[in-house]
Amino acid sequence: MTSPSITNDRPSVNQTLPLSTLNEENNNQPVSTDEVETNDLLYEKLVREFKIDPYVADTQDLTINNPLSQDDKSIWKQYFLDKELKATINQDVRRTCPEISFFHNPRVSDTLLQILFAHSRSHHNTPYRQGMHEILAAIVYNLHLEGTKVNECKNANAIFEKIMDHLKQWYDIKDNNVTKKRNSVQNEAKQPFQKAQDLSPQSNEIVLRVNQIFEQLKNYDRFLHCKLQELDIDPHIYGIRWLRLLFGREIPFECIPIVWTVIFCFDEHFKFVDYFFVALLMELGNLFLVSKRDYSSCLQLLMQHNVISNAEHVLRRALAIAGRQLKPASEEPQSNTKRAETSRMNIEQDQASSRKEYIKQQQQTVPKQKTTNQVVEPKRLLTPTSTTTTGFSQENAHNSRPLARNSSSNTSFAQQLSTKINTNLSNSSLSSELDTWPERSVRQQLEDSRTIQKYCAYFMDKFLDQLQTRICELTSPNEDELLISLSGLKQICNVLSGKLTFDSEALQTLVNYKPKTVKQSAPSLNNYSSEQNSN
Amino acid sequence: MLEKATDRSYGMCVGKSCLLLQFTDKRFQPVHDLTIGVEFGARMITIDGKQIKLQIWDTVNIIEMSFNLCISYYRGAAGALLVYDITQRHTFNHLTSWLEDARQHSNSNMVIMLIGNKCDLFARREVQKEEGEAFAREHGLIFMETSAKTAANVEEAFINTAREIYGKIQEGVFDPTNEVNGIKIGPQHANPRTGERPSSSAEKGGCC
Repeated sequence: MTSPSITNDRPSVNQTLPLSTLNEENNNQPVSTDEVETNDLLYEKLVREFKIDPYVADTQDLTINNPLSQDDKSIWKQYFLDKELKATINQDVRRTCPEISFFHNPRVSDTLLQILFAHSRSHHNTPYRQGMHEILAAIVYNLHLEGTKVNECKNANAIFEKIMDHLKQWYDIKDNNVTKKRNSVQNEAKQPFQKAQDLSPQSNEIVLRVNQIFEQLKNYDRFLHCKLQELDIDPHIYGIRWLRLLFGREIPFECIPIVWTVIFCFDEHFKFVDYFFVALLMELGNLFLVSKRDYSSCLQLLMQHNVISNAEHVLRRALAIAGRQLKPASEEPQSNTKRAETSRMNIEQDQASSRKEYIKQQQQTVPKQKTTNQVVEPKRLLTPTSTTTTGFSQENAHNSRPLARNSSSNTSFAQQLSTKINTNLSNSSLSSELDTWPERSVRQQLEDSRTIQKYCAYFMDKFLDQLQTRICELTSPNEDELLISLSGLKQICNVLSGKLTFDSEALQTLVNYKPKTVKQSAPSLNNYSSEQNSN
Repeated sequence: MLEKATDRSYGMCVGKSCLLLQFTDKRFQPVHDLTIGVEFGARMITIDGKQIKLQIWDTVNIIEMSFNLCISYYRGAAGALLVYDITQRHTFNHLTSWLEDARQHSNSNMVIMLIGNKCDLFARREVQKEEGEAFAREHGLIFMETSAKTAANVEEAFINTAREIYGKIQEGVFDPTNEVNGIKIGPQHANPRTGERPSSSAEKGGCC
């Protein structure tokens, strides 16, 4: 099989995607045999119900039941619609994960088709949409890896249904009725640079969610938030795929079970999706900073398949974000960041008006931050003794250190997580996992320092640009000296932003610069100007 | 319900993503992952000695799109490639309604090129070249038959569209200083360049 390498120790879908965690009314009960049987029966019932054979139809009223009839009750009409639906689904199923030979098997394609068809027929409001097939594919593939041959179809269907219960809102394209609304927005549409969400008050569910998540980024990496806004990259451009496929294309295929497991176990609202989304953005944000990227290269990165090779790191960060939100008391380092931001804001207000928008956002942040904390998740997650939440087991919370330690590979992480989740799911609390994370506060401080550092570099850069412009306008006899000093500052700025390695000798040379030795220092000057060009 | 189902079966697999990949990466990938939402590609080209950066949006077929997103992808596009598959007549039959939508939602000056893709599969041709030409003439579009597989006319399709847009800038139809037209002038270095920037919509649009 040409599939990605997956060890036998990976978490099992059947166990790690426990149906109970996906069931809102019954989220503290383990899956009972009865429930599995009910699911089996349900699926069989669906298959029977939607299997239409007009040739053996009971009713013989030929005025209604004939192939040319357009009557809604005509069994033929439904038959043709079904055929069309199947053709549509099949077209997508055939293109599912082409690099994995498992999906080339006609039996597998047929399973996918049957389940998707039954789902589409039984959910009139959220019929089949592209992307659903990849969710199902991940489920079926993992069931297959576990060797679940018997009832594969039914199990896959049950898990798929549960997941789709949560995802269906993101597949909803209700405002798609172009014809009806066309005239009403005709004028606005001709102002092309309007934000999509400004065009119509009733925005699409997924766009709203993606925008909300993006706003949360402000609380964790304001610099990145600001940068993406400056670039004018609408979060829905990449975010729709991230959500609809539950990050299935962004992370390696073999990491899907781990990430999904945490999403399903975290809470019943898929709140972890938000944290993972933000964490993923931050991960990619680091790449933006490595080389100064423009609009297209940033966007290409955001939309690149398998952009993340190490999902563990993102997962870890997402958990840290979640932990931070779950326990507002330990926010001291963050408040440092906030102070830095506030003072920076004061300085910033003196600056050019082009930054007005940015300042406005900053001013709004403090109250928003509070709201976020209030909104934050059910209290029961904060109570270590809670028995209502599925998540990591209490027992394993004491063994949570390995999670915080740098494990060398995805596999070992998978093993750890797998052990955690495969034990008792019902008596657990995620927060206990996070609270006992020993390096957490240190990690937080480190992250905050990094953030502050990035802010400093960013604004230093702006100030330097301004200074440089002014200096260039001057006709001072010591202009070179000024430029050399600027060059030094610029180097420090680049060190702070992580673009340059710290080189004390180079800086010392610049400090030692004397106007008499202009020629000797010329290389530094050249270096400086080439840097400017590259920026 | 009938209409919706019918619509949905149209407009897929005409080769939008393959065309983009061929243009930006010069390679053909016969089985391409399904586009969810949009994909994005960029390439620098040179027209009349001017460097132009094309930013190209590869959209999902319109039926999979919500209304607001549809508008959002169209906004600010300077040009669009309307693609049908010469081996699937229904993709051609659906052009009229696609074109109507495109014209309603986009800048009225948007350059639209009609593409009959998969011209390497001449044995399975269902739409004659003359039909494509006639449709283009009737609706004021530029027309070309391409093959993302053999790369035939792929460069030309994108570059001609860009050239047409560039022409409109020269004529003053598009104001490059106004970003709402999907065009942005790049930084004026020694080598001035024009960044063509269909902000969120298609330089390349999808059929249906």
